[in-house]
Amino acid sequence: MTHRRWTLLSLMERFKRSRDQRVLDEELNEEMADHLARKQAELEARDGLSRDEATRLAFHKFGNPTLVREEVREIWGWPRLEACWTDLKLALRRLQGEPLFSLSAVLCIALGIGLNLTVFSILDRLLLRPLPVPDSGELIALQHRAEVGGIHESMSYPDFLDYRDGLTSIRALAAYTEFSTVLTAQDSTAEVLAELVTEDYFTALGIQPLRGRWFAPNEMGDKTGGGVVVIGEGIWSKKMGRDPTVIGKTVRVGGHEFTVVGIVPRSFSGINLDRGTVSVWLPFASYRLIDPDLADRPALESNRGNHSVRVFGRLEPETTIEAAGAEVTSLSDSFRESVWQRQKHAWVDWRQSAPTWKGLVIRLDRARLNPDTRATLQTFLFSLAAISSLFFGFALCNLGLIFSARVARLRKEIAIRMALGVSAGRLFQQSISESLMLALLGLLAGLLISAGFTSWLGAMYPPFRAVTEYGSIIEARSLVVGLCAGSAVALLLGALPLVFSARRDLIVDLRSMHRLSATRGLVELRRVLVAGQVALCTVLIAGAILFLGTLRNAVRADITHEAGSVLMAHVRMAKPLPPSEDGLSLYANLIRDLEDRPSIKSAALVFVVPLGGRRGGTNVDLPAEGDLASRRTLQVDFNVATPKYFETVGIPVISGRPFDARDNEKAPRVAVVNHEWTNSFYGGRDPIGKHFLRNGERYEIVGLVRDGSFRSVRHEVKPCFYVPLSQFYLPAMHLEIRHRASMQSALADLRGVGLQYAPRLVIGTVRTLEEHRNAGLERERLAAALLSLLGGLTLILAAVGVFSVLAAYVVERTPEVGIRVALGATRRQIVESIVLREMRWVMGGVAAGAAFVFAASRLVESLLFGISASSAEPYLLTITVLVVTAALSMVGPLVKAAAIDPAVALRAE
Amino acid sequence: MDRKGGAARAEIPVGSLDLMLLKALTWGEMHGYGLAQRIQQGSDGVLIVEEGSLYPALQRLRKNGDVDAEWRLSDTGRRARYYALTQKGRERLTREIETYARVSKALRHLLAMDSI
Repeated sequence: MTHRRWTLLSLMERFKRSRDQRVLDEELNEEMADHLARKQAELEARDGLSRDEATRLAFHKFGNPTLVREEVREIWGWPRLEACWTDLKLALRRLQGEPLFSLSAVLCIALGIGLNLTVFSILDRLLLRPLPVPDSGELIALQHRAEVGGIHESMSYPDFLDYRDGLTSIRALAAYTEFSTVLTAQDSTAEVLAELVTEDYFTALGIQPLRGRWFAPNEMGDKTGGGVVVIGEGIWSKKMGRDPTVIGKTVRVGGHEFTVVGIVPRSFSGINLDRGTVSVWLPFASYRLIDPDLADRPALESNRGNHSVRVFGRLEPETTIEAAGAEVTSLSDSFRESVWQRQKHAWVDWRQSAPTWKGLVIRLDRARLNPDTRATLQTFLFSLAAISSLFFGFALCNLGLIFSARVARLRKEIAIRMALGVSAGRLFQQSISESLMLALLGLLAGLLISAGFTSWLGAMYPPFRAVTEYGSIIEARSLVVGLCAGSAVALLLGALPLVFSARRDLIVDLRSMHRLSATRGLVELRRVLVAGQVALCTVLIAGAILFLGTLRNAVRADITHEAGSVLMAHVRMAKPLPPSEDGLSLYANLIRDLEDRPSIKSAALVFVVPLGGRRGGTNVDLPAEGDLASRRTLQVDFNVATPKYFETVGIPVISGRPFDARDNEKAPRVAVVNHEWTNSFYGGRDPIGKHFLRNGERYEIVGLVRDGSFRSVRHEVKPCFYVPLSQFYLPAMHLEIRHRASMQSALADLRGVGLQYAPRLVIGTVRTLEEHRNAGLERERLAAALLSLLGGLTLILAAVGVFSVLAAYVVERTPEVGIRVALGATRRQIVESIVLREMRWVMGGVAAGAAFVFAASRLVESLLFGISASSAEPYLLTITVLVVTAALSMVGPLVKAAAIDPAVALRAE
Repeated sequence: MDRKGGAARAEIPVGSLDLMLLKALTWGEMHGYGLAQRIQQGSDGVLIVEEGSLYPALQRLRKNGDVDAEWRLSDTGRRARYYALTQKGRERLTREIETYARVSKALRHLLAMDSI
C-alpha cells in the first residue's frame, strides 16, 4: 500500500514539476528577450547603430540562448523522464524524415529479435525448462531398455503394480496413459488430449487444484472410475467461459457423461509434450466407459501384454537417482523370472518376446519427449538457434553498415550543431534517443513477428503446440531479454556518430570538402560481411527449394484427386461382431444412406488408405503365362474396397472396370490390379482377364488402376491388387466420402447418418484425405516452411546489406566517379565496373553457401523425396533468386552513381 | 563593452561571478541586464560579465536561496525580473569576501617574494 502511495505521490510530483518547467522556460525566455531589448536600445543610443545592426550585434554578444536554456534547466533539475520523452518525440520526427534508413534499421532489429525470441523461447520450453511443478528435480520416469529396440517409455499396468509395491526408493509411483477424445461442454465440442491416471498422479506431481479437488479414493477404486473428470484451466476458459459454477457440472468425454470435480491450473498441461497439451484427466478405470474396444479385451489392470502406461514417481528424500535406478534395475531382473514362472503356460512366451528388458530411471524433465523426437528436436532447434544467432549477428552488422553510412551523411549537421555549442553530452543523448526509438520500434515489431511465428510453428508440428496452446506466447522473460538486447543495440549504435565526430576536425567537416572515405580494409570487411550473409542465404534458400520440391513431389505421388474434398474416417462394427452377412449389409446400407444425402457425391469403404504409414501385404501365386502348373509365389500388397472407391478418391481406372454389384459373395473372385503389377508380371501388357491364386483361390483380374504408394511417399510402389469387400469381408474399414459444394453440410450429414447406425457402427474422427496425407509429412513440411521463411528473411537482410554497402561506396567514391566521367568514361562503363566488383562478392557468397549445402546434404538426404541435393536444378534456382535480388538491391545506388555530375563532384573536391 | 575595451578588459576568474553578483545586489534590487551593467561600471569597465553565463548564475543563486526574484514592471514598460539579496545571501557574501581577502592576500604575498 505504501508502495502505491509512493508511486502516486511521485507521479503528482512529476506532474507538478513538469508544469513548473514550462513556467521556468517561459520566464527565462521573457527575461532574455528583455535583456536583448535593453542591449539593443543601448547599442542604438550609445554607438548610433541602426536598429537591424543593433539587433544583430545584441544577439551575437548574447551567445547561444539554447545553451543558456539547457543550463538553467539542468540547474533546476529537468525531470529525466520528461527529457527522455521529449527526446524520443524529437527522434521520431527526425526518423520520419529518413524513411529508408529508419525502415531498414527497424527491419534488421525486428527480424533479428523476432526470430531469436521465437527460437529461444521454444528451445527453452521444450528442452530446457523443467516441468512446472514443485521440486520437479525429484520427479523421475520409470522406463525400460531393451537390448534390441532401445527405450520403451511405456509398460503394462501389472508391471507398474509390481514396481509400485516393490520399490522403496521411490514414493507416489503413478501411471498414466493418454488418448485423443472429444470433449463436449456447454454445447461446444473440442478435440482434446485426455489422460487416464492412477491415484497418486497428482500427489506425485505435488500440484494443487485451481478449483475443486482431485479424485477421491472411492472414485479411484470404482470399477469404472466413478464417472468423474478433472479438466484443464485452458479448456475451462476457452470452452466454458471460466464458468464459476463448473464444479459438479456434467461434461461429455468421448460421448459419455462425467461430473467435473476439479480444475488443473494452466501452468500444468500434461507431462508429455509429444502430442500437445492435455486438457482432461480421468481415473484410470474410466477407460471401460470411454473405449469399448479396450473394455472388450482382458482388463488392462491384469494384461501384461498391453504396454500402454507411462510410470513416474518422486524420489524418497535423501535418495539419489542412481540408487533408485539400481533398485529399479534389480527389481526388473527379478520380475522377469517371476513373470516367466507365472506365464509359463500362457500362449505368449513373455520371456522370449522381451528377453532383455531392464528397468531404468531418468529424470522426468528429460522424459517429456519421446527419445527420437527429443533427438530430432535437439538437432533441429539447436541448428535453428545457430542460424538465428548468425542471423542476429548479420542483422547487427547491417545495422552498423546502415548507421555508419548515415553518420557519413549527417557529419556536416553534427559539425554545425557542435559549432553552435550543443554539448557532446546532449548530442549523445539525442543520438541515443534516436537509436533507442529505432530499437523500441524494432522490438515491438519483433515481438509481433515472434508471436506470429510461434503460433505458426505450433500449427506446423505437434510438440510445438505445447508452447502455444492456452499459454501466453510472449512471456515477461522474453520481453526482458528483448528489451535488454534492444537497449544494448541502441546504446552501441547511438554512440557511433559521436565516436566519429569526436575524432574529427569540425572545420574540415564544416567545409565538407573532405569526403569521409573508409579505408580499403573497412570496405573489404563490409563486403566480406555481405558475402557471409549471401552464403547463409544460399544455404537456407537451397534447403527450402529441396524441401519444397520434396513436398511437391509428395503431393504428386498422391494418386488421389482433390484430396481436400474427400472426408475420411475409421469405421468398424461394434463388439460383439455380427456375422459377416449382417456386417456386409450394414456397410451396404451405410453407403446407400450416405449417398442419398444431397451433400455427398459418393461414398466408399477401403481397408488401407494411401500414405497412411501402413499397407496390407499377402502372398500370391502367379501362374507363368498359360501354364497353371509352374507358378511363382510373390509378396504383394493387397487392399479391400467397395465399388465406388476409385471414383470417390479419384484414382483413374486405366482399363477394364472397377468393382460393381456383380461381384457379390457368390460370384467368381475378381481383382483390380495396379500398373506396377502389370509392369512386373506381364511386361506392361494389358492384365484384364488374367488370373492369379491366393490361398488356393483363383482371382480374375477385371481392372487396372494407377499406381499408389501405401505406406508413405518414400516407400517404393509395390505390385498391388484390390478385392471387393463383398468377397473379402473385414469388420474394420475406412469410410471415404467425396462431398459436393460444402464440406460443412457433408460433415453434418455424415454425423446424422452416423447417429442412425450407432451403436452398431463406430465411426472415428473425421478428417480430410489431404490432412491424412499431410500428417505423414510433418517434418518435411516444417523443414520446408521454416527454411522458406528463414530464407526469405535472410534474403531481405542480405538485400539490405548489399544495398547499404553499395550506397556507402557510391557516396564515398563520388569524386572518383566524377573524375572518370570527366575523363570520358560513359555511364554504362561506370555502372558496369561497379556491378562487376560487387557481384564478385555476391557470387563468392553463393559459391560458399552452395558448397556447404552440397557437403551437408547427406544429412538430409533421407528426408528428401524425388529431388536430390546433388542435382543442378536446386542450385541454379538458388543462384537465380540471389543474383536477381542482389541486382534489384543495387539499382538505387547505381542510378545515383550514374547520375553523378562530374562538375558538381569535382567542385566538391 | 565592445571589443574596443582591448587590454583593459579582463576575463572573470572562475567562481567569482557569484561573488560579484551578490556584491552588485547589495546596492539594491536589479534585473539581470542592470546587474551586468553595475559590475562593468563598478570595475571601471574591466570586468565584463559573459551574458551567456549571467542567467544560469542567477538561477543557481536563486535555487541556493541566496537571492529572491520578483517580476515587476520596469522603466521600459515591459515586465522584468528583479533580483534581491536574501539574509542567506548576505551571510554568504560576507563569507565569500573573507575568503577572497585571504586568498588575495596570500597571492599578493607570494607574488612579492623574490626567493625562499
